[in-house]
Amino acid sequence: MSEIPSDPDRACAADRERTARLLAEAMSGELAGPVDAHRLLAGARTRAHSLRRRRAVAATAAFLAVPALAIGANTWNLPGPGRTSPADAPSLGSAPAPVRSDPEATVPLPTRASVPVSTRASLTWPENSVLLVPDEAVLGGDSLGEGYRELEESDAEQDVRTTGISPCASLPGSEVLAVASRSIVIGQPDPDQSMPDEWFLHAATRVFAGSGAEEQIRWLRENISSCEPADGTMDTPLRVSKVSQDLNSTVLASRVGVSTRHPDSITVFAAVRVGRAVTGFTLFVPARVGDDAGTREEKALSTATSLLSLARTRLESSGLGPLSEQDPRLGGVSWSGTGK
Amino acid sequence: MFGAGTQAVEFTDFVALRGPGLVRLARGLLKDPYQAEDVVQDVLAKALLRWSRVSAADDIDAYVRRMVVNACTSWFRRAARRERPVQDGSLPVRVAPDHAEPLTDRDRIMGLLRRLPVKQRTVLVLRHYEGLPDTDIARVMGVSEGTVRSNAHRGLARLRRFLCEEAGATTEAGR
Repeated sequence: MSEIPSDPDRACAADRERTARLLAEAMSGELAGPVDAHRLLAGARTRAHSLRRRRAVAATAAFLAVPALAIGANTWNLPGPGRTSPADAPSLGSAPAPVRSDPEATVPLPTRASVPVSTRASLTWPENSVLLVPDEAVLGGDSLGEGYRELEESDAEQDVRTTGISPCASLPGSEVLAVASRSIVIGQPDPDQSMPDEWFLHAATRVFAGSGAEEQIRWLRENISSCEPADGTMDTPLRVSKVSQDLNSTVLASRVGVSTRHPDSITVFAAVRVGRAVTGFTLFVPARVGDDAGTREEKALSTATSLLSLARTRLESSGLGPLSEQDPRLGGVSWSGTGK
Repeated sequence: MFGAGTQAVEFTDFVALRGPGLVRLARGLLKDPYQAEDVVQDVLAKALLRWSRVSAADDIDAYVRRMVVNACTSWFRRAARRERPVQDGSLPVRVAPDHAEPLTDRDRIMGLLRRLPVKQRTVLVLRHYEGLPDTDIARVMGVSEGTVRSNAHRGLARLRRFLCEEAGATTEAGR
């Protein structure tokens, strides 16, 4: 007769500690085989040489491609399917532009425009050149979806939508703002609201031309709304603060606690800058999430922090952030948990 | 190019001290443990090229460990893309287990561990092999502590279920 009860869940539930112990023992035995550190070191050095050679070739190609990138940004302003013409695109401080998130109307973006740190110093970047970091490269992937599901702690109806990217504003100095969005539907949408009970993530990718941090902050404060839906989501000035700064990156964030259409919702705007690359997102937390405003705020900020960390990690690993390009004006400002 | 200087010495010392541990970690994370040294060599090569940045990190171990975890995760994705279904009948049908090479409990558990989704497996390895606290695991994986806890819970539960199912099947077969 079997010693295992017919219900595997019941059988396993009594055995949790033992399973963990077995696992630890198995790993300590299985993984502990000998490793030749000398061979490891020699292999790493050989591969580093090879990698450096390949990067040198890629850097040459990237250098040649930079003018094309800048031109590419300008071509977004040409009228055409899914593109914003200069007349359509708002300038600084103008009225909000509609967000185009139709995947069919996306503009092809370079998937990687990185230049290795080791060779970047020898390059002369053209004035007003741009680097472009699509949001998929920064915030996409399995981690994001699972992180969101974790927030609700429910396996109710969920839907991860495909990210779409659209240009929505043209800015001075060959800068172009593009907005990408993806959302995870949690629970049943409320048919009486145009904005259902969803966690929204809008990932904004900014193409910029070597601006300093102060300009970045000012730009975020004054213009991030230019790509917000024209539905009165924000009725208070956006405040932006630095969350943190280290040698490699700067994190900017702002929380907007009041929405005219969804009074108890919380919106977090966040951006991370690594060297000359910046990316960001908008996190919308609906009113029904959490029992009270404090819980909602805590969840919103912890989620945003987690996403920012992810974004920063990916930007850093993309090699877009040489220390030499950090703006010395950064620093001295700490996260103040800025309010609405 | 990489053979002299303080940074080269630092890097050599780091590999001598931490390299074997990183390979063992990768053995736990990868479905194919024989790829571990390959992946870690790649990671160390990248670390060497930007050693000034790596060595400026608050915790160099944690920084490189995160690189290894990311590399192993990317390895899964690349491997998954490489995998292609085969036509039915193109593989030999195994009608009975091969008793010539009986699996030890250790082999069995490691095999079951490698059947878990990558995130659950990563959490379990970092928690039960590396002995990292949830805070550090969250930092290494770039997720929240809640995500770490839920993945650990689900991973362990699934592992228990695998073990129970296997024990049940063995008992059934022995009747």
